[in-house]
Amino acid sequence: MVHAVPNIGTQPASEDDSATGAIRPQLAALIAESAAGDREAFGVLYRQTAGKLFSVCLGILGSRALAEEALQDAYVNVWRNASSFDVAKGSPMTWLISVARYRSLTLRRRAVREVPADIEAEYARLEDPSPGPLADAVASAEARALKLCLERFEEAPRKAVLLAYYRGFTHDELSRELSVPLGTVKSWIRRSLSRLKLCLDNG
Amino acid sequence: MAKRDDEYWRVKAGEYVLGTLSEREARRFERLRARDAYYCDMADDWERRFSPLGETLADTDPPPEIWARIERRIAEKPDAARLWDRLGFWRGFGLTAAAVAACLLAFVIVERVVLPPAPVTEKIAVLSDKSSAAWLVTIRQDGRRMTILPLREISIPSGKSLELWLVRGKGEAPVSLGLVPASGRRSVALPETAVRSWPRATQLAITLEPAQGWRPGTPYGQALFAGKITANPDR
Repeated sequence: MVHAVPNIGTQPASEDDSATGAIRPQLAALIAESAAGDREAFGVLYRQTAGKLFSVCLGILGSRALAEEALQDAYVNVWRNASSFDVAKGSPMTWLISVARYRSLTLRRRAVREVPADIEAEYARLEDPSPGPLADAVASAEARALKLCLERFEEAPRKAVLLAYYRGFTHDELSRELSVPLGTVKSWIRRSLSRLKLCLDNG
Repeated sequence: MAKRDDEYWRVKAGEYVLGTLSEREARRFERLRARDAYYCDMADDWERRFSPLGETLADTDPPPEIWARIERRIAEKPDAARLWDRLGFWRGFGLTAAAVAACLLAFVIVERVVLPPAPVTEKIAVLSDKSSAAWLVTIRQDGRRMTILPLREISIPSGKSLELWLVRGKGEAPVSLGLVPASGRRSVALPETAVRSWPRATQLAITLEPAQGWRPGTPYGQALFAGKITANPDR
């Protein structure tokens, strides 16, 4: 199975999203050095983050070959546009993940994608509640908040949001895959987004 | 400006970031995002909020040859074609300046809003005058159609017009690609003579010609803008 297993806020966090935030400035520094043309720093940035970004690409593209293409494009973009990164507007990981996601979404729209046949198994893995308190403790505060808010949703709308984020499903595809009318999917997503915003703002 | 429906646009931005919008709707939102910091902030906000979903994914090690391929690609010498990858270039014209500076993912947006889809675009040329880039010309894979996009305000003296030329090697006459509009994106079909000339084409140039009575086939006026033809870096 090529897909990584997304666990919302429960995966043992890697060093760069440590709760202390101590490593984040390091990623920002590596991006700044890349912007100045330092290939060695760019190599370190790649080694620290490529595993995460590859999982993001694999999830959306569902194919190793395409995910490898997306990953390459994403890092070439990161290299060329490193000077446009501004830590005041978002964390390094937010920026890197977004670059990888948009590139993957673009390639996905171009490619004919085979939707995983076993959609139920996909959900199960999306929502695998396994790792324990230690993992929770190291996951970032943002991740915990997001997880708590998503948990308040009903199951079906939550699945729709997660499938959209991790797999890049459009409204049409969600409707087909979840066997619900398009209007229902759209209203799930819209209501989920409204509720999510409220929940994240107010805790 | 009329009061915008914050709630509506916040949800639209969220759908855009999630990726559930159709290609057409996504492009429409991107155009708004490229022009206006209002949409930019909304989308940035969702990117930040959803980011933990990606950050908590388990790592998957990519095959080792990927890094070698990335290194090879970034080692390529920057040329005119790479211009569009650098934000500074886009800041030079009004289209996106304000929003671009405000957006977390400015370059992604600019690339997608301004450029036609990559697979059909084989060659590009950025035409400049002495001061800065002024036109972006993209040529479709089969060489039969091109898109001309002015990158800034161009004023044409009255009674004059601008004509685009395909410049070939030494000793060969340039081939006219027709008159160009002073504003707005324009897509034009190319004559057979032009299609046949692409393999030996090196540059594109724009000359100032009399609006009437320009002599087809021969550049008469001075060249105002010129730029090398290069392969589309987004392949």
